Amino acid sequence: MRALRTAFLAATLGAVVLHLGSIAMVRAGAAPTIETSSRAGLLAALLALLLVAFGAPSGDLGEWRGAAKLGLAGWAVLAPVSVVAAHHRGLQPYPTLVALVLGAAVAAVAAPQRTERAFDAGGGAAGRGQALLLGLGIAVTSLVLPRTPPWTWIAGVAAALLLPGVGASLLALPRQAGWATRLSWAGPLALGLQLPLLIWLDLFEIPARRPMLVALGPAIALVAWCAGALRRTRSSPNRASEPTP
Amino acid sequence: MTKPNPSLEPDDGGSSAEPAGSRSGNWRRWRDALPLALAAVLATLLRGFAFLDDYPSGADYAHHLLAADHYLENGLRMIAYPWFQLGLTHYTQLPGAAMLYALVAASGSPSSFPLAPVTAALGALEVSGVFLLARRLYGPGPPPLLAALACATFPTGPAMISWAGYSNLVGIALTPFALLAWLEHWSRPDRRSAVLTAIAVGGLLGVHHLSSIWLLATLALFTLAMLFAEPRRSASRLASLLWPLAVAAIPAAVRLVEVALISQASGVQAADRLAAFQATRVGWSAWVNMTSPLGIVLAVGILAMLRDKTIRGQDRLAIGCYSLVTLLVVFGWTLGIAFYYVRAVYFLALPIALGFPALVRLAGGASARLALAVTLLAGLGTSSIAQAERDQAFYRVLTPEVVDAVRRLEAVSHEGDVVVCSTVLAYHLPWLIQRPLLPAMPPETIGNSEQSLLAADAVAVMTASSRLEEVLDARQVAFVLLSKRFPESGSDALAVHPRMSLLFQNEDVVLYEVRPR
Repeated sequence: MRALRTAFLAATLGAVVLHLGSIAMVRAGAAPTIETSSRAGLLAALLALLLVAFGAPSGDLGEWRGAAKLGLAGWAVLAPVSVVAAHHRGLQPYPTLVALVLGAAVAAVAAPQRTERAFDAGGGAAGRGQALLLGLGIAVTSLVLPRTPPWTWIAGVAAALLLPGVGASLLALPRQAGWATRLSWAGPLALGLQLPLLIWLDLFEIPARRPMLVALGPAIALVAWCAGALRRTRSSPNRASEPTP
Repeated sequence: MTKPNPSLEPDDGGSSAEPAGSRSGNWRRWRDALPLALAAVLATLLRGFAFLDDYPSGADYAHHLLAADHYLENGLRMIAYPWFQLGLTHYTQLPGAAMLYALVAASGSPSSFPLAPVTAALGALEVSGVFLLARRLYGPGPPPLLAALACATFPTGPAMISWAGYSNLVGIALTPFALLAWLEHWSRPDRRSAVLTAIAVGGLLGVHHLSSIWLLATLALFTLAMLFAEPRRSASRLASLLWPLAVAAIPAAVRLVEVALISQASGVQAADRLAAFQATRVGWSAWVNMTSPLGIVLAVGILAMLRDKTIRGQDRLAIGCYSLVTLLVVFGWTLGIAFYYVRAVYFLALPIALGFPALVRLAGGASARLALAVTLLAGLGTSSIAQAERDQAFYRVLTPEVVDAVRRLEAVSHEGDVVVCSTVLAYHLPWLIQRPLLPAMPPETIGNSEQSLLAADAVAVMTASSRLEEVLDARQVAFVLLSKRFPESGSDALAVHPRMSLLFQNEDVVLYEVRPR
């Protein structure tokens, strides 16, 4: 099994190298070699299938530390940049930026524990404070920023998605959920609350005019924030110990 | 192996020495999220290639944003598709995507069109959803981040945004959240999880019919299997979801049924539909073009994940159901399912990303796994950059040259003049010029079969077939606008046809005026 794993690994690495090489060659104006990398990719896949059929995952992914990590991370940054540089039109700003972010993101696989901490506990007071700050920020943004892209993008996304989404996440997610979890859920919650409501209105042919669309997000955030505060008040341990009149 | 940990109930212990609200604690949490933030930014930037030109690449966004502008203006969804196919057909998209763009535009933009680039940020949403779902499957540690990065670098997202399937992108980005909420409720049902599930599922259902069908089919398969395995327990979980789901999902379900009824209304025979989609069967070249050659390696990860006993059985069942639905549609022609099969490949991104950590686990020691993960991700990401650049150049549909030609058409034509146009131009013309249009759409691109007969007439004109004269007179066609970048096959013959008079041409389009008989 160990030999098979090594073979699979080698084949996959080979496929990737061929693939990267073919991209560089195509970009440099050489003959297309996509078929070469396709076949190598297929071979690696067949080996992987064998591994799945006869093998089993062996434990956790473990801690990734050491010189190999640094070397691979460095390569991960350099490889995409070099492929982009091979482009016959020369180095272009946007693809280079994307390649650099790709390199940094791939290098970040070595720091998973760090990411994990951001999703851990801590959504209580800090989450509410951040929601209030976010609300204030959006209000200021909407009033001050000019009505042209990209400012309208920022103000629009914040008002329609982030504000109601973060507000609703404070209510709908457990207290233990960290701010990163809340932020991740903001979009789906905002859409999940607003779209069914708007489709209900549409079903009954009640028009949702622009002022209503503008007010909907902040209104949901406000209601969620008030409901959250009410619930916290009700479940507060001090309340139970209060003397009854 | 670390014990799987539910994503919404994280561990408290040992995560951070700082108290929750302290300044240094907050800063540390922002800093800690950097790797995932990089994945989210990468996904957004890869999708951002579609917005580097004068106009966003692709054609389909025009009708989504036109519907959004209609909603912004009238407060009600667009029912008839103005000017498109002579204005005789219904607009058969679900209203959710148009409502989303209208909501974002409402706070400061007069129109939804300047907001098109916001669509790229859906990549970040999808990545964070995949992260949370992978965290539920594999527990904390490297696997969720690997899944998020695989999702960020997988080429189908950038490919889809380049032809402007915006509403489907919204649906695909929301899918991991809907599945996660459903699984959370199935593990620990309470009122909060029922409401969260209803919100997540209800929000998705109204956005795009394909995503809705995918999710409904997945959840139906999963629920049936669970009802069979644990009848009483599953029935009680389902019962607790009934009311919240009814409130959130009924309006979208009504619209979904309406769309299905309208789309199938013209009575096109099943055999004809199968034949129409024959050209879209997924072969090796289509696979390579859409997912890169490395996509096949990553697809193996789905099997590895389904065999991984460290993942909860019901979680594997849910992802298995989703994968099964996708594969059934990709290869649906073997079962007589009529579908634009290539389109189903876009739905593979989720199980492939979730299977990536299981694939990496197949390698030996920690260094080998790191090597495999980094190499595959770098290869996939580099491939995505190349593909996003290529697709952005390929799908350059609306250009200053096209707009110039449309302005000339507007100047020489009158309000009722019928214009036959190429398929790709048909999506943009309704918001650029107010003229009755007959787009020459081939059968496999038609979702609403109300359009079939009208489109067949337009194709007859565009391909200079034997019916050309008959259609020109019957439909009173006055102009023909042909895309040079995406010409219909056979349209070359128009240049020498006696009824066609060349009015104008530039790099991207040719405009003919129809001579009277």
